Amino acid sequence: MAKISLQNIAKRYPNQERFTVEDFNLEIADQEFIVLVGPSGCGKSTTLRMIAGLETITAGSFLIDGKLMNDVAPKDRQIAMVFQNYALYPHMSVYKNLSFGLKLRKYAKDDIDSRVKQAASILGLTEYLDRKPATLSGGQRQRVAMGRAIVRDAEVFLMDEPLSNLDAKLRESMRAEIAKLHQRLKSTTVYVTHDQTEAMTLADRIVIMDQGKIQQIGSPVDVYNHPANVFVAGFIGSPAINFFDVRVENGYLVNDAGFKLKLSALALSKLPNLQPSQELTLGIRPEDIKVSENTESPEAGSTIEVEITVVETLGANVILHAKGGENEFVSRLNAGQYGRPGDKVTLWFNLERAHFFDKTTQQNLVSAKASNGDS
Amino acid sequence: MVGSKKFNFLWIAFFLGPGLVGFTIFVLIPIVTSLYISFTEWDLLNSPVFIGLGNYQTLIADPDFWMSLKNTVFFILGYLPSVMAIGLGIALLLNSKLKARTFFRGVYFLPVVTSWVAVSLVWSWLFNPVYGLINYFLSLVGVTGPNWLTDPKTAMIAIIITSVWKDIGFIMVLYLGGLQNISPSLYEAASIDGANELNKFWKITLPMLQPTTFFVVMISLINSFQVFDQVNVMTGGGPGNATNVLVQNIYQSAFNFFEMGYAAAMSWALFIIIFSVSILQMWGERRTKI
Amino acid sequence: MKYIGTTIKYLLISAGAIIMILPFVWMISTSFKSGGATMVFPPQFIPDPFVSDNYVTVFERFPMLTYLRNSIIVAIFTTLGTILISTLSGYAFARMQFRFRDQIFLAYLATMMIPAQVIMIPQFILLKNFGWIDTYQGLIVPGIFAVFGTFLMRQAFLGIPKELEEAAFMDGANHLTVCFRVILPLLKPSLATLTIFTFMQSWNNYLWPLIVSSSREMATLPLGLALLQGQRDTDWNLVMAGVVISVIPILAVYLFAQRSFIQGMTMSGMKE
Repeated sequence: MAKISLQNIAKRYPNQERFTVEDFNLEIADQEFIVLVGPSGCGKSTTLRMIAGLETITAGSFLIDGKLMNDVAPKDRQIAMVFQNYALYPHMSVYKNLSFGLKLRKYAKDDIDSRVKQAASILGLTEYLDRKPATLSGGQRQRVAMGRAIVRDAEVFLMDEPLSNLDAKLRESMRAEIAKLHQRLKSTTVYVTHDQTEAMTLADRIVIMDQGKIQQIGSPVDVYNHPANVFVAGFIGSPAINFFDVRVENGYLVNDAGFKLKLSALALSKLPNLQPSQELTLGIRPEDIKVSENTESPEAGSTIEVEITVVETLGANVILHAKGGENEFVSRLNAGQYGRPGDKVTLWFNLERAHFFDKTTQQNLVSAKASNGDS
Repeated sequence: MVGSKKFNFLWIAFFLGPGLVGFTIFVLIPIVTSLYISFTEWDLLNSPVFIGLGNYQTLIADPDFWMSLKNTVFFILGYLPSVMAIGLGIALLLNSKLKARTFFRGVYFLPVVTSWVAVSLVWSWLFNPVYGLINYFLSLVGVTGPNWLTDPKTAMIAIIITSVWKDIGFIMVLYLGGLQNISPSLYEAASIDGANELNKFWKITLPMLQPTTFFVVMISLINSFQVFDQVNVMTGGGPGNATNVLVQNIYQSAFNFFEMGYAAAMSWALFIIIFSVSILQMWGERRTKI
Repeated sequence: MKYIGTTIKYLLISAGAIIMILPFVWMISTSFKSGGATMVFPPQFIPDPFVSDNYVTVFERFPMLTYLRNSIIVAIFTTLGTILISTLSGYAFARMQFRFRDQIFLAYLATMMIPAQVIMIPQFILLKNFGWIDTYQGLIVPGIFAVFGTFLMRQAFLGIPKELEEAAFMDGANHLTVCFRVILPLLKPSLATLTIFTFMQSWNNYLWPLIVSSSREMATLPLGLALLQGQRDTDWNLVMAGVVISVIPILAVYLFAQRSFIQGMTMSGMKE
């Protein structure tokens, strides 16, 4: 049982004016898998390190199971952590690496032995117990780092970009293993990454951060389908969402750099309370931009003539980069032939799945309420 | 790191405390005291008498001080260029693909680990005018060697030769480090551009060694302003005052004549000289860089 | 052409090496000569007669054993003390957070610019007040707090990734465990360098014993050796035997740990 509560957490380093983390509020349920994601310098690692007790908390309260933990030393927090560079003790064998924490906590010898052996067998490290870390492969080192957390039966697991030092293939398989491990151990987990794929695949809930502030909290599907603001929309999704500056005029979406699209009644109904000629940012995901098959548009006034600039063939998908007016478009399409660079094609926007943001506040006009679902 | 404040303080006190206390007692306080002593007249028997800048005034008018400074500068002028040129030369030779490199490096470094006293004694014996090896070798080429250490004209030269011999290995090792930092690709590129060995030395090796040279000059200057052991053992500052260098002068003033205040003032003069030379050198280094 | 170049290189480097070796040969050769054989012309390289009595006589005529004992005691305790203090302070400066940490360290560094001669006079007076003149404490303790060791160990500690100690803290370690069981085992090369360098400095030191030791009872080897030649007519065969005795221990260590020696000298940029 470990519920974590972060209330108005803030961090400011001495001699620095800006807060590294500000106004951070998050309730983590027992057994939940939370992923903190954001660009580098967004404060996600600092937040994790405050939970670990490696950084002091400047302001706010941090509770585990209702107990205030702000000033409790790391070793007394019942927390285990996996570091980005693994931080294995180079002069100790795998066995000693795994048992070091137990020894310091004065566990009985047999207990240590059985715990280490069990963790080793879970992670497939049994035959490497006598080896020094330097003789292990990257993946094996990563497992030892995980093992060091597992042996202690800690109530909370913290992981700081644990996969970022692995190559792409290994990362994918370790990702799956971490998911399996969590299902098995059910420890409350806080996981920091800058990789949105890891965030999407592992998380029960994702916390997206930027410049020290939480941008949105929600399930992976939630943050993808209902981004709270321009930042979240742009950060989640690959290839990245398309943004255009637009205004709504007489039922039309007008972009000064080159297009004018008719809004359907449904799309229009998602945009209540617009000020006349309010500046908007239109966000539309690549899979919602289609190539119109016939020259006849599916709906009059809702297509854009563009010129293909780059075609990326990815097997199941084709990523089409195109230019029209001064705008650039990225579209994800099912595999097929759509033309070659220089060819003209007609694009069609699925505006019912588009997102509209206020250009000044950057907030989602439509689903702001629905997507802030962290309660 | 989070933890209770009191607890953290105890840890810091445990780790830093012993060192800081010792540092304060044996380094920091002596420095401050030294400055104070330099403003007093003190023979250790009676209490110190504050005389303000008196010692420094005496110093400026004291021919013995200027003589010892002159001797020190003479030592540096003889010692520094020779030890640097030879040290660099040996480093260049050793930097090429040579069999028994480690062996040679070890041999050249041998005198560096030997104490100054041992080296000074051996060289005093080598410089023995009648039975010494050096005058014997000179006699082989028909030269009558001088009374090295008892002749005011040659005593300092003998000390310079001894010092160069002892420090070649030290300079060599510093230069070897610098040479190893030069990327071989630079030489390869130069070869393709048609440079010969001499071009490479002047256009690549020497410029790339500039930071090392800077370091070597700095360190050697600081060290050679403090030259003492070899002088004290080989000549004791003599004959007459021919090899009486600054530190020898300070030592004698303090521990032979018990003029603590005057000796302290001289030691601060030494500091100011070393400090100014270092600043000057750093300034010169910066100017040539830009 | 290339052969000639290489040959010249070898010739030069070997000639230089002979010049470096020759004084050592001369030292050893003299130490095995009889008193009369030192005073012949031309000088002998191979002692004739070959006598080893000098090594006995030097112990009989001078308190060499005392010098040797003093040097060993002073060098060993100075080295142990320096390592302990440098490790603790280096860890504090590299790995602990406290107010004025960087300012204090800067003060440490600044004192490295002050020549030893400035400090030696008040240090002497301080020891006099402590009653430490002509004692082991006087010879050992001030040397332990040389700033260089702290500086070197701080650099070494800084070279270890911070995550390693953080992992240890999460594992339940305290600062003592982190410093001595987690990090220090990784700093063996730096420790070796510091050990050897400090030992050599202490073993070879002349100026400080010259000031602190006022009696032969408390003289170290370099001081004692300098006293050997004090007489008007120096018995060079005896002096050289004494020199050989003083040089052998440090050369023996040097042969086994050449790398650490060279590294220590390069890093310190100091000689004595």
